[in-house]
Amino acid sequence: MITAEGLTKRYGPHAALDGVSFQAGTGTIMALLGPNGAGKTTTVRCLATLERPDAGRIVVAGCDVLADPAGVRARISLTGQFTALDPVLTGRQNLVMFGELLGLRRRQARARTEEMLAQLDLVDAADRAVKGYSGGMRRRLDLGVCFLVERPVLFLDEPTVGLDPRGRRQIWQRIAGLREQGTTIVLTTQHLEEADILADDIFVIDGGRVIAHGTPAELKRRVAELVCSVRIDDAGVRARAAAELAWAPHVTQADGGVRLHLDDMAGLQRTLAVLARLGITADEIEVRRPSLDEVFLDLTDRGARMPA
Amino acid sequence: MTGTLHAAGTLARRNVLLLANPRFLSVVFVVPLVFFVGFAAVLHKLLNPLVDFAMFFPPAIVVQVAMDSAITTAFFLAGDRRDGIVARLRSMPISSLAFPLARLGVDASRFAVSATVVVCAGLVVGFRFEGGVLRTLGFAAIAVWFTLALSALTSAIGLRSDDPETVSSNLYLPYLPLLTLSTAFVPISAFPRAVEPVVRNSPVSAVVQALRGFSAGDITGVTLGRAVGWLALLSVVGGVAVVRAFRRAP
Amino acid sequence: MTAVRETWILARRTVLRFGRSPELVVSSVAFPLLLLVIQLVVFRHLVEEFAGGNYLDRLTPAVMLATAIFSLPVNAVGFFSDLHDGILSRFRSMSISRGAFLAGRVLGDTARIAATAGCVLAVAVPLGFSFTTSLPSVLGFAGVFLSGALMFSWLAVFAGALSSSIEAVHSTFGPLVLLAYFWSSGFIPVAAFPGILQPVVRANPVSAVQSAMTALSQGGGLMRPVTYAVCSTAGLSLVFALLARHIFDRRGRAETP
Repeated sequence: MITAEGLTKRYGPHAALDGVSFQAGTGTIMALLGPNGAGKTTTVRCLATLERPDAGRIVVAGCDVLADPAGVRARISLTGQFTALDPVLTGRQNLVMFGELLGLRRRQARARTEEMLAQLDLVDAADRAVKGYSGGMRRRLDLGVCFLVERPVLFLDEPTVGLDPRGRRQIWQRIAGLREQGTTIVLTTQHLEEADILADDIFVIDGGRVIAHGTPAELKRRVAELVCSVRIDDAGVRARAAAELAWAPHVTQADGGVRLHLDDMAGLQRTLAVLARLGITADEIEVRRPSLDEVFLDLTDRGARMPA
Repeated sequence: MTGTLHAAGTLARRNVLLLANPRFLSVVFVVPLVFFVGFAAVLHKLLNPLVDFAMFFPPAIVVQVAMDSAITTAFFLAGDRRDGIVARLRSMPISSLAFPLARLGVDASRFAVSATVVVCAGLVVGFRFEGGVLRTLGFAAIAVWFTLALSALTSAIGLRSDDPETVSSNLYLPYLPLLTLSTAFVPISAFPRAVEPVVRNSPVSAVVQALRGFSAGDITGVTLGRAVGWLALLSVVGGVAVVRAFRRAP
Repeated sequence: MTAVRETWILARRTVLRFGRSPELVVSSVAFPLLLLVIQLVVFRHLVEEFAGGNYLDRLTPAVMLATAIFSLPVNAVGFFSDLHDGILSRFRSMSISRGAFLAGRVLGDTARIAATAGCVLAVAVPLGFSFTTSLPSVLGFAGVFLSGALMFSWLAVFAGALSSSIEAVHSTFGPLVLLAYFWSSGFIPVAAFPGILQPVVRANPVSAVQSAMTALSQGGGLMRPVTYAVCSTAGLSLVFALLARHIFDRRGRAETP
């Protein structure tokens, strides 16, 4: 449904995007994951025909972004980091106006607006000016505009920023629901939990380049199979433990303990043996699968250590 | 007391730095000239049969610039409030006089520059200070006092709002009648009889008559008394209002 | 979605925005009404002494035009805000044509101005203003006025597109706006200006529109004033529209395909 090849965009001497390539299949959620300044928003803006790439080819829903931007625009729906609403008008007025601009007739736009307001829990605030809305309310309204009319492709640039956990979960449900209906979704996020839960496929971007790609499970496996955290209050014992576990990949000492990555059961058994010898009890040991946080930090850390 | 002055000085420096912007310099130099030339062109022929235009006209623009500058003060203060600066200053151990003092100090200086520009333009068309040094100082004193008193009042109004555009467009409403229903631009003989009482008793008329009296050298006790009376009243009301507004502003 | 329908929806948006702030509505209407009454009180004697005639005949069209002139900073700032908020990106991503966006803004602003000017006219009538000409002239009166209002709306859009900040709008166009009003035959007759300025005043399109409107409402030579008024306002509207469009496009071309 969406392919990007060699996407490059420069601002002066700085390359915001430097040869980014990815694809997203129909009816899937693809997440672009990356730290601030990685190029996620620039990528989405290029996909949505709001920026012109300096090099590369992008095809969205069968239309080339440079050759047929109007075709692309007719098939996408977009929500940006900065909410694109009219601050002077009310929530209701915004939705009706955008509904009509999206092609709905007045009555349809009104009906659809009421549906959206109910679904987004904005009915009470519907007749207040948007500039008086809280950040979370504004985000919900922005998403509402995005969902007004069904489009085959949806671009969500950090969609749940500023929402409380309940609000976030509600939006995730909606997004997953849209995927069930066959919408192709490109999501950018810094919320690793979000990418983990929603994404079918993840492209990790840093410094304008794709540094990793895979499903959430694949990416986690890349860091390690298991992460073992041990709580050791005594600094001396901690140092000893770190020394004796130095053979393990990625051993770190933090206040209160030691953490290490393990690639297989054999490593785990060796670790447990060392810890038993040091007299560390079971309730101070935690073994789990790596979180996407750790994947992310690991990948972008490595990126940062590479020469610029 | 020295603490207050010191704080006021620091804040004043900030306000001056804000003004170092070329755009604002245009406001201080260019706009008063535009008003001067603009109105002079319109009024010259109409007023010539009635008054000595060269002596009559420039004080009107001095007064008008003072009023305009008071509205600009409100505009800036509402902006300061909107940007949260007022809240921050209030939470600091500065006397509640420091902030208004700084504001007024800078605005008075800005006005002094603009007024000088207007007087220079007046000199070109034949305006003269004919009363000697003392009366010339009197002219300056009344003009600056007027600006300060007005600015104190408009500062209080500006601090109550966080929307600079609305505050200034609201202030232009009373500005219009105050400025025009006075003897600033038009001598009293040209007004319909019904309006004469309003014009005669207007504070703006009092101030502009005092300015004319000082520049022509023939100021009377009555004229001066009226002006001083109005200015004193305005100062008290404005001063109290601005300190209160600063204390209350979020 | 045709450009016409898009323009209509966006024009409605501009009007709705204005209606959202009752304070703004009141002060936009109150100021010209105040101006009408005060100018009448303050200058009637002076002008009628100088030039005879009925001051209200020239003042009413002038203050109607003042509603257009003095709303220029507000409209320019409004357009500037549109350009710099996020909403324009959204409109672009929805394939809303740029022409529709500009035209919607201008039509909305002109409609607002017309409504305010209507209030001014309504108040001028009890003060003594009346039409002494036929219906076609009255329609002409409205038409010439709208042409002038449209010109100022395009100038506002141009000002908003050109300026780099809100203060810049005020400091650049504020003085211009004042001179456009004061140096026109609406405020005082051309003959009341110093000799050197008279050509400037005569050339001011506000003078042209005002004298055309006066002629259309009170009778008098029509050909010259009306022709000049229509030609200058239509011509300037076109110039401002093209300039605004050019700046708008140049900003857009750097970004979108």
